[in-house]
Amino acid sequence: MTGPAGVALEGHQLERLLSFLGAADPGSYRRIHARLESFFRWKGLGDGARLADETLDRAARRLADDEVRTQAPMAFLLGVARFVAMEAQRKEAQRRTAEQSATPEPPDERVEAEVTALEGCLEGLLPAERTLVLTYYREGSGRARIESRQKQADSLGIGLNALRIRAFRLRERLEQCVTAKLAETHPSAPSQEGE
Amino acid sequence: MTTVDAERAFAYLLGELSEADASAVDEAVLAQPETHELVSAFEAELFDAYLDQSLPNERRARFEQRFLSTAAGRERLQRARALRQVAAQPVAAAQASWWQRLSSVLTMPRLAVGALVAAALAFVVAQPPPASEVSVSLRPDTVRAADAARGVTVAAASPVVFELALDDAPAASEWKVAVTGPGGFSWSGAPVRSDAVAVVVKVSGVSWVSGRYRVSLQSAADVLTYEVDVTVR
Repeated sequence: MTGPAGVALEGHQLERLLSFLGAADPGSYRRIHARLESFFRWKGLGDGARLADETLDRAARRLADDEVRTQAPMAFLLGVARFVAMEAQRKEAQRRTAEQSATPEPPDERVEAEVTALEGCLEGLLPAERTLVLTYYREGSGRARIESRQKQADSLGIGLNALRIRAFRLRERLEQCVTAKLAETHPSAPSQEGE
Repeated sequence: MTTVDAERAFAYLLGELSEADASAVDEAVLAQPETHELVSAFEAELFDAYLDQSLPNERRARFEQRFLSTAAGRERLQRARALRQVAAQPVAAAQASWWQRLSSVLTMPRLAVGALVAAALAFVVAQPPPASEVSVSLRPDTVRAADAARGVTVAAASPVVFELALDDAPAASEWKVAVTGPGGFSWSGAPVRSDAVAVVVKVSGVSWVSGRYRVSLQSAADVLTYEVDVTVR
């Protein structure tokens, strides 16, 4: 990990952070990082991965400097994240003004490639999974959609939120599969980087 | 645990909650993996609602400002649009492929078709009825307990497909799965499929007994554990 100024954290700083967060194994650390990334995205900020890095770096440095007396690691981390978000929001406002006027619609062939890739990825699911995800996300709105999803949950013997999570996990898998397929077939297509 | 329903999640994602309410959701999202996943699922549904044009104008404007001002957000919208397009005709597509397969058989000479049908019937009659496959999704460090009406009911010989969510654990190229349970139940093997989100394993050829089962998913870097109560009918 490196700090905001690109200065690498020292071993003891990283160890102290991990122990403070109860994230001794790499998996726990990555899970916290992923939740921070979402936190920034949901504040309307791009580049959540970099902001999550920055948050963890700052938290590690403050812990190493013995500035922290809290017994609530997540509340402390959230405090640092909010500060990073505030700074980023100021910069983001300037960037958006410049970029928003130029939001191009994707070209038709790109949309077609997405659909083709998605169809290929659906073939890789088990039939029951395919039915679940396609039924759940089928177009519709309002009461009809709510009733249809409730019926789907009832037929599977699970609650609506459990169905929502299952469908979402499948959707995530499909999106990752589509990204991989497009990278193979359209290596020059614009990526999500560079925001 | 902080509860988040669709309306509260949409308001949170669109920046409409009061500072105190948003702060409570922020805390829950950071501290509770299950809340993080649920809000992520609502985020996907917010993209759908935008495409459905079911968001009121004010919310549409907020959505565009928060989510469509980045390349990543616009790409997610594109994915959501593709999924809707494909989901719009799943039944028709499935039926077409079934008919295509059937029509290819019907174009064979009648004698060959008759022989095929007879062989298929003989095969079906000779087979014992298979125990139906049961699928179950599990989350790491969580017990799916029967007392919460969320356990799993199987026939003694049912194949069971476990979908083991990785939550935010890193994907690995190789996973080992071990299942232990009551009465010395022990099964180990490799997944049938895995990706960055979940590992799918099919446990078959075993005899289930009622009780709590522990599933251990191991990679070079991680060990995740899951627990589930199985009831044999």
